[in-house]
Amino acid sequence: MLKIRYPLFGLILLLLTACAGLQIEELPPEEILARSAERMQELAGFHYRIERSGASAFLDYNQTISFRRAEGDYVLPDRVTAEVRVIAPGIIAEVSIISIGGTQWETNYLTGEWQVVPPEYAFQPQILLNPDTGIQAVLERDLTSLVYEGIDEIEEMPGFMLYKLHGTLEGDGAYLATYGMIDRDPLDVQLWIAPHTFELHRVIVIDPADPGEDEDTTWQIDFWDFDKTVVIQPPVVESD
Amino acid sequence: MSENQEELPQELPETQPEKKSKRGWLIGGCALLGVLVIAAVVLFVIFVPFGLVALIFGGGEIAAIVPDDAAVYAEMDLLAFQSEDLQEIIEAFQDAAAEVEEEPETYEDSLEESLGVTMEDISPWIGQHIGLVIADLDFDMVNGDETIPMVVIVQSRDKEEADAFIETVLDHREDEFDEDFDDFEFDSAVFYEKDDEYDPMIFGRYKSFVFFANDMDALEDVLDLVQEGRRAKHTLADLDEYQQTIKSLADNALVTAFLSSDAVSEYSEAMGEDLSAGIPTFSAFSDIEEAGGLTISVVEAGIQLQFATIYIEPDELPWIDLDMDMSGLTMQSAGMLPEETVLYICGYYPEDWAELYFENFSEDELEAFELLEDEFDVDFEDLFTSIEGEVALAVFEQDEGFISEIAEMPLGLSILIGINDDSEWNQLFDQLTDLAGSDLMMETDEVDLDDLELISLSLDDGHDQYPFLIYGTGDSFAVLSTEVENAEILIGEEDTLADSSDFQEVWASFPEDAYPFMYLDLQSFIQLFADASSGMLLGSVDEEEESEVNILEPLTAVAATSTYYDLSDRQIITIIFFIDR
Repeated sequence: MLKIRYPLFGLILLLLTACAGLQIEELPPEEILARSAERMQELAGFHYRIERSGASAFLDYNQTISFRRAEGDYVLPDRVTAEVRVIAPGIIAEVSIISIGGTQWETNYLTGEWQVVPPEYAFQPQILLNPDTGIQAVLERDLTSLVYEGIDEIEEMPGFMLYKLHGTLEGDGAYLATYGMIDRDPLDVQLWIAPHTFELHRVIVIDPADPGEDEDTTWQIDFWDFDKTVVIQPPVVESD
Repeated sequence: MSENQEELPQELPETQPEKKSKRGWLIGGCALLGVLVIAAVVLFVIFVPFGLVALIFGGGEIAAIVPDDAAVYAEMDLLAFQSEDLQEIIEAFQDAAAEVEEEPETYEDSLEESLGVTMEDISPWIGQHIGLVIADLDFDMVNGDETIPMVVIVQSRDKEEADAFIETVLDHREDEFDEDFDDFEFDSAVFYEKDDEYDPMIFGRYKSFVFFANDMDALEDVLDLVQEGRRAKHTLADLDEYQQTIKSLADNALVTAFLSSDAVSEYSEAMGEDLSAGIPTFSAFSDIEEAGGLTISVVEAGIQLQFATIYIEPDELPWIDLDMDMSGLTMQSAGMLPEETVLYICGYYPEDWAELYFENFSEDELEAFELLEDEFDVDFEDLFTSIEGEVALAVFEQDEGFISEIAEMPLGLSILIGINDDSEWNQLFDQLTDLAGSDLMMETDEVDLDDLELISLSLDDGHDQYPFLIYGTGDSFAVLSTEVENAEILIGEEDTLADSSDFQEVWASFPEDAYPFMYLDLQSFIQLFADASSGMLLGSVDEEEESEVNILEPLTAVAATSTYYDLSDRQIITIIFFIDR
């Protein structure tokens, strides 16, 4: 009988060990956020996607060019690629961006040819994404009324459980980091952070509707491929 | 018959002589018929080039050896090229081009240069059909980033002559181009291959076909089907969408081409993502699965092109519920345009078409549309929703008008838009009137023509007024035209395009169930632009005599019809190039 019990006992022990590994420790939301910020600053790179839905958010002062989404890779400290979709009156345009250091290149949306763009006239994803100065830093600094909402999963990663936090973002941080696309109003923010690694997988920021508008603007920023670095080189510019 | 009767045994009953007589007539009649048939066949073979090949191969035989997953298949019928009508057309253009100083390089020159052969080397063996198979086609290939895998298949009617041709080509490529070819066998047939990364070439003869290819896999797929013969499966000829496409198009075409639904989908998707680098096309209806076909044929009026679109899932077409009754269409707009119209384009918009488009717009497209409305302060959705019926655009000769003033070209333009509600259009035109009214150099006047309430715009330089634009609504149309001086044309009080005998005659050459949508008086169109540009448009110039020759002179008009509005599983566009010969 002892011989029979050993395998059974071993199996039970194995199961208990596995369960212990899967257990997600409940932590104060401030600690989760702080450890996440620290983790994001340690990364060598990541893939990202920023998507805007709801009311338009304009890149230009005349409010004719609406930001729709951007997706690409970020390699610290200062290399970024982005495929950006914008919406203008009667037209949907997509441009590619490469930013290295202080230099940014964009493709002409008609010809597809690369051209150097003065940074002041361009959408600069590296400012938004830089872990030290971008949206992640803003969240760590300006997020208030932080609440731990429990364990949750996101649709794109079924079965992968994440910490879910909820808070309010106040101040100019988001406004400055997004070129004014996000207002200075108090913003509702939700975060999904991986337990154990504290990698930030998703941020949803809801910018309430301006007076006269019917709907809010929702920003969703996703991160994945953490620590993955891709080679980002300057493009070939035709005039060179 | 007497011979047959004599052959019958004498011991047959008395009644049999009657049967014998009928039987004799029957046998004799069959024999005579057989003689006549044989005679006809012999005459056909002797006097009709490729007659024997036509008898043996019929038409479209090559499709039976093309894989059913081919992206594109095109076929040329050399028998159709023998037609007298085509010869007359060619002669008409040759006469017109007789004074062209520089003779362009002919295809024979190209053939001799690249393959070392002339028509004398080809004629003895070539059969009726030549096929081109594009095994795969994606956007990278079209962009030139990758080689398009192709196989050219030429029917052969004389194997020895074909083999001699191949030897000539091989020797020429080796001697003149210093190319190395390896030979290999396929089912005892010898092929020659130049294994070059950038310019691969494979050719040879197998059974009754000569092959040229740039991709071994594509060639082997075809050769396998040839080898299987009648047992071959999964051939293009068996493919339903191919059969449906070919059945929809004209018979006896010079050229027939087929584009598979897979190729259309792939290319459409790539184009939608990369139309001009960064402007995705509006995605409504972009996921409709369709195959395409084209024929080029000779008709009495000239050269006819037909384009067929076959919908693979017709029951799922988004416009299936639209009311597209075309029975009442009369090209009413033609009766509102000048007789001197050189270009006329007419479409038809059924009720609720705009709603259908808006329902199928993506979120991004709707947002782009809303921004457009904000930019111009116009409710485009209501505006487009009010469009129903005929929409026409016409270009005509006009010495004084908006275009003639601004672009210094003697052109006029009219746009007629069928509407079911004039309120949005009146609002738009009121904005235009207010804008014009705020300009000191602009004058506006009201023009009432029967049911049309129009505003004419004039430039006032302080001395004279120069009317250049007229617009307004009425009679189920919104109107925008540079034909201010003869605005009565809009109500048919002057000679209109509909009165033109040339315009009326072109439609007689088209199928009855097709709806006209384009008419181009080509010679007038060319002359108009030639005068405008003050120079030669086409042809060569005899500098000493300062004369201009138009090599397109035999081409008098181009017209097109469509079955676009017939909600079936296919649409056919027919274009005829009218040739004077």
